Amino acid sequence: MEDRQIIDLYFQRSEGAISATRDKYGHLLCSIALGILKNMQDAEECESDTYLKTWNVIPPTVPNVLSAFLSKIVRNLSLDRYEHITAEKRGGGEIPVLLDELEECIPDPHGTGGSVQAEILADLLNEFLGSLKKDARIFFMRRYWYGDSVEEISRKYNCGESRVKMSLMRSRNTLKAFLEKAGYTI
Amino acid sequence: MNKSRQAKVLFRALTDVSDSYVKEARETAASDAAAEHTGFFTSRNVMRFTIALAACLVIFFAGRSILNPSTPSGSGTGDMTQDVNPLQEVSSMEEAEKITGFALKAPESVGASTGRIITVYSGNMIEVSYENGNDSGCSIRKAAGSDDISGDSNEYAALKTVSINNSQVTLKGENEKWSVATWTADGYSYAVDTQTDPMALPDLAKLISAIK
Repeated sequence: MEDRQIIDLYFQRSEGAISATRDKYGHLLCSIALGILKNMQDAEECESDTYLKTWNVIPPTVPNVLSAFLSKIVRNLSLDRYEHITAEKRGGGEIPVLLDELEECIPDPHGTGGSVQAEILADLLNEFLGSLKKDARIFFMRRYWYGDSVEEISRKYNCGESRVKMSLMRSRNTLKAFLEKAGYTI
Repeated sequence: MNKSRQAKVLFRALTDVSDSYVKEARETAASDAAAEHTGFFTSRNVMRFTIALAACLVIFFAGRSILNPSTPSGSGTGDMTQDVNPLQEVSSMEEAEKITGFALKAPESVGASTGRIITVYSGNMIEVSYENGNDSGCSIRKAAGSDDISGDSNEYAALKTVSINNSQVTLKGENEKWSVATWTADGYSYAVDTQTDPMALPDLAKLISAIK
């Protein structure tokens, strides 16, 4: 079913909207949640919560890109759940590794920059992503947005892990330079 | 706020990047996964045929750049499932030459490198990346034309042009250590990226002299 038709079902308040969303994007949503949570039960619960949240926001919201819209919801829900789980000290998985890598992108404090709002930070990240070549951008997004391991990325794109690691390292350096230039502190 | 907390904020903020980037990464991966599922692209022998076919398609659909660094279409209606994997790792320079139609002469090793990886981008650019153990080292690129192919958009404190082997080489770096070198010669564009371990000019000039 076309995305437009699925969105129309939401506007009609048809419960078929959820089953159509599940049929088309269920695997994607579960895989994003699983990439963050590394636990199928938690991932499936986040997937279900995504359908509920989508049902509650459409209408009035009209997603521009339905897949990205759903993906962002499930990513946020999964991160919320991850933080809840780690607060209870039963977390783990790939996220601590990803966060360690992203720490490399944080500029050293200069004491002059102001705190950057979330929207401005997203704009900066968009500018940074736009500056990358397509392959580097996809590697970066697969690693830090979808939570893929380096091994998974190298398999998906039929290239060596060293190739992926090198690209990610360069992108992190570029991001750090972007943030420094913007006088970024959080 | 400590760096760990800042990294979490950054990780969370990534959620809100442009839909087009989220879609691009998903659909390119989905395209490759679908290809894998058929078993067609998993055979190395058939892959050779695929490379040739991809090259034909690139020629046929001339003008459509698959390595366009600009923001991808975010209309939500575009079909990106026809994208060709822009990366092709090859086992030798000869294989890279067969794909691109030109040769790249580059050292077997640079400094203390322990190996090198040869990659062809979109059938029209060769890159040699040198590894230092588990770390990434410098890389050398060559493509037809005169565009800057360094792929390094960082801003550097120092910019300098020097003549090496009759080519005007542009250097970027700081404190007399150079991270990027770009030049053109005989209709080709070259780039050396050493940002992980910036080089002094004598060492970099020696490396550039070994590249053709």
